[in-house]
Amino acid sequence: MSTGNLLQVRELSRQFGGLKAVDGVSFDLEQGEILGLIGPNGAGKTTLVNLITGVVPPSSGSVVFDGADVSARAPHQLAKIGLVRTFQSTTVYSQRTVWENALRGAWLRRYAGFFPTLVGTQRVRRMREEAEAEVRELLEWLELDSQADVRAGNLPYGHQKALGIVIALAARPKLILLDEPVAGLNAEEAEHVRRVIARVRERGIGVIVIDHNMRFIAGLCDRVVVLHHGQELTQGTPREVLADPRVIEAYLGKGHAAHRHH
Amino acid sequence: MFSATLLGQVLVNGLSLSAIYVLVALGFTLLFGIMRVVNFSHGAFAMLGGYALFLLYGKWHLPYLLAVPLAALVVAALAMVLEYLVFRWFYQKMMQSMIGLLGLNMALVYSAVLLWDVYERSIPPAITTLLSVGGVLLPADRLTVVAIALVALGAFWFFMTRTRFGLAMRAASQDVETAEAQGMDTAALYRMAFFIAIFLTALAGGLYAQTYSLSPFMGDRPLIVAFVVVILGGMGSIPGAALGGVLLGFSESFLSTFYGSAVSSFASFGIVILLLIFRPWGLLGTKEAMRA
Amino acid sequence: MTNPMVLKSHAAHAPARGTRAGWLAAGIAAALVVLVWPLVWSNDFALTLGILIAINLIGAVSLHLIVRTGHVSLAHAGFMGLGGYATALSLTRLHLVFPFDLLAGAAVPALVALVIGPLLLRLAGKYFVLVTFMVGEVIRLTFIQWSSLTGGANGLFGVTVPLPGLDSLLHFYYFALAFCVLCVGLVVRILTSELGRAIDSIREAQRVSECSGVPAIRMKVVMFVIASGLVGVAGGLQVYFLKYIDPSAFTIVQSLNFLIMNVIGGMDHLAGAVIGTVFIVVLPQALEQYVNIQQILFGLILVAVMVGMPGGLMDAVKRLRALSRRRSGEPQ
Repeated sequence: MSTGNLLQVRELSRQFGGLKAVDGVSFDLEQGEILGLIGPNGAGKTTLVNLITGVVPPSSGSVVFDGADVSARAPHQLAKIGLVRTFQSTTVYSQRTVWENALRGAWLRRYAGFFPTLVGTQRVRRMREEAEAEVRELLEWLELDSQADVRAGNLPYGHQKALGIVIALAARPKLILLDEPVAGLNAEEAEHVRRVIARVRERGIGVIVIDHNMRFIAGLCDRVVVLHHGQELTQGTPREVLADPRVIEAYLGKGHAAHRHH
Repeated sequence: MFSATLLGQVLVNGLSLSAIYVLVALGFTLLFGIMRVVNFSHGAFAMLGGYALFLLYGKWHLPYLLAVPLAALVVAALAMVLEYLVFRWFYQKMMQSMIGLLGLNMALVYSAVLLWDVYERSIPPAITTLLSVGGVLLPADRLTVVAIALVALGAFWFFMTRTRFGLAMRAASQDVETAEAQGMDTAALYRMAFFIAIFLTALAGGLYAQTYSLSPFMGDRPLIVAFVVVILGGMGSIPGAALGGVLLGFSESFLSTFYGSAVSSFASFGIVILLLIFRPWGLLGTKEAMRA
Repeated sequence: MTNPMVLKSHAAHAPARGTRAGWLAAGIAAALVVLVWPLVWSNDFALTLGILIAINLIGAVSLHLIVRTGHVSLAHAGFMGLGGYATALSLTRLHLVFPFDLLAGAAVPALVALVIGPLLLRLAGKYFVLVTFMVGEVIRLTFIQWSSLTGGANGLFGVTVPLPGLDSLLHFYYFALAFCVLCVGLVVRILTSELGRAIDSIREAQRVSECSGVPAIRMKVVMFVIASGLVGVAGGLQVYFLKYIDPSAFTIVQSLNFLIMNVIGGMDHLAGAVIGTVFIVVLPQALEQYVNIQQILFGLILVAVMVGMPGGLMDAVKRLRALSRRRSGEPQ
């Protein structure tokens, strides 16, 4: 029962000099869906994410989020309307506690404007209390509350990645894009992150996950978009996509296309 | 206004200024390119080169062509002590190097004030004759400066492109981690780069002091020049330093002769500021990641 | 499930009750001393020192605001000069009375910062330092060259006191102190509010903060503008005090002094700037005869701090405390 498309990407392209890093990619995301973006290294996944989340302006094409054209908006403007992302490398504020990290994610919920903040009105106080309650609940829900005091940099790497997702969730987004959330994690940590992402969907938040690990994507996503050389190769359910010989060829080269890859 | 003699002198002036500026900038860009150090004390080493030349040539009357490289050698050798005590703690740490070397600059400049005094001195020129080239009178001492600088630059170019060490240094400036992984002794490489950088700077400082005048604060100008040139050409780019030095030297010579030194300063600062805003990687540099 | 009390205590983001009361008491005591000592011990030299500390503190603390956003500005003294000249000129040329001339002193550098801030603050750290170095030089050269307006290298004379009675050192001390408290208070308020949290998040991980909705560049510009306005006030106060102004007070050396004040105390906390300022203003007086040695010492201290304790005195103290706590077996 989809409530309409949350995200509509149309013919999105980005050129760097003569190189087309992303070339005419289109796809939709429905509310409450987990979409996977996969492709071999260099396929243009990160650029595509940067285009959608306002880090890089598109050369052509459009991005429509929640009914509004957001094609050239900056990341902080997108966060305001509910589009948030995580990063592959810098995930957390490593010198700060888990609690402080999560709280920083909820900045929009706490910020009442420049002068009210300076003066310290009733509204400021109220917003702060509400935001803190929300963050507390968020940490409990994702079972990080017992480590609220721990310095983020001291957490095991898998938990840091999970914290990165928490920071994103604290902004009460409608859609979060996760850039390689399990890169560098072992199987157990990756499973932990996978569970966190699955629970995100429970709250009706749309998720786009970027990764090049097919098994992880297949086990998590409702639908998958495959990128290759900046272009969309195919879309479909994980099953359909993984059986597609073109996808196998893109990852493993022509020789393997004949075999069925599980 | 634009007589042949005047133009000729402006040209020669521009040449000698360019030569000095390129030497200063090369040292600065070596330190940045290889060790990621922003040497705010660069001018102080130029100043020390000036004092060294003053002592060797002005006071002890060594033959000029011996005194010039010897002065630079002495300064570079003594600077190795500072390399050990100060500089090597700042390698690959840009922000710390900036502030720390600002401090070193203060210490060096005011030590010079203590050792000598604030008053300006002059170094006697190497030759006082005027050469007649195609009917235009040109000062021979400026030409000597150009000649010496060209020799130094030629030696530098030879070293960087034809010797093992030079190639190793260039490799390290591209990618330090890979160089280390391949077993290069980066500490020794850094020391060599440091020595060469200070040598070039002290050499330039001697020539500069001879062209203008010598005082403990003499280094302020070469420092700003180093910045301007290196930003023009692209931080860490050696050909960029050469290009920037030539551009600055000639434009300064031209502008200050015909429009005064203030206009010249404003022009070069203005252009650099604009470059930093719109094209911070300079004319020849490569676009690194812009975010801090 | 965790005891909800554990989480609740973090909401206040405050240390335990006991030490908080201790700091409060110390703060009140310090405030009393600062307010009362001139009435007890009347000494012109000490009063002058106090005034200089007050004026420089505004400069150091305003630079701290910029440093907290992750940028080091070497043009700060130039902006102070803009404020000083604006005040002097509005007094002598436009015959504005206090407080309008001081307001002009705040407004001019703030406006300049508003115009160039968006361009400069997009740059990465090292480029920002270099650009501000150049901008400071350009400002100083402008002071010298535009002699019809600024009096050139000789400067402007004939500045009178803004209010009657400020000829007396004692009264001027309280005048300067009042502005110092206001300016430092503003910076404290900003840093302890949500704005401060946003600033820290920008400095520590700008991309992450932007994705949490923080308008990073805009915030950096706002802080840059506020800081420039504040240091302009310091410039105006200095003009009132010296009753004249000339370009030599606004060179890279003074910008460096402000930076040193921040670095020595510790760049992460406002208190560091306070400690550093007192240190930097008082030390030269102790070495009064030996100006050169004083500069050498400053330089060496700077080198030593950046090599040994880049976090400044406050960080060093923090580490010493952690070390002693570990030694005595206390939990951290």
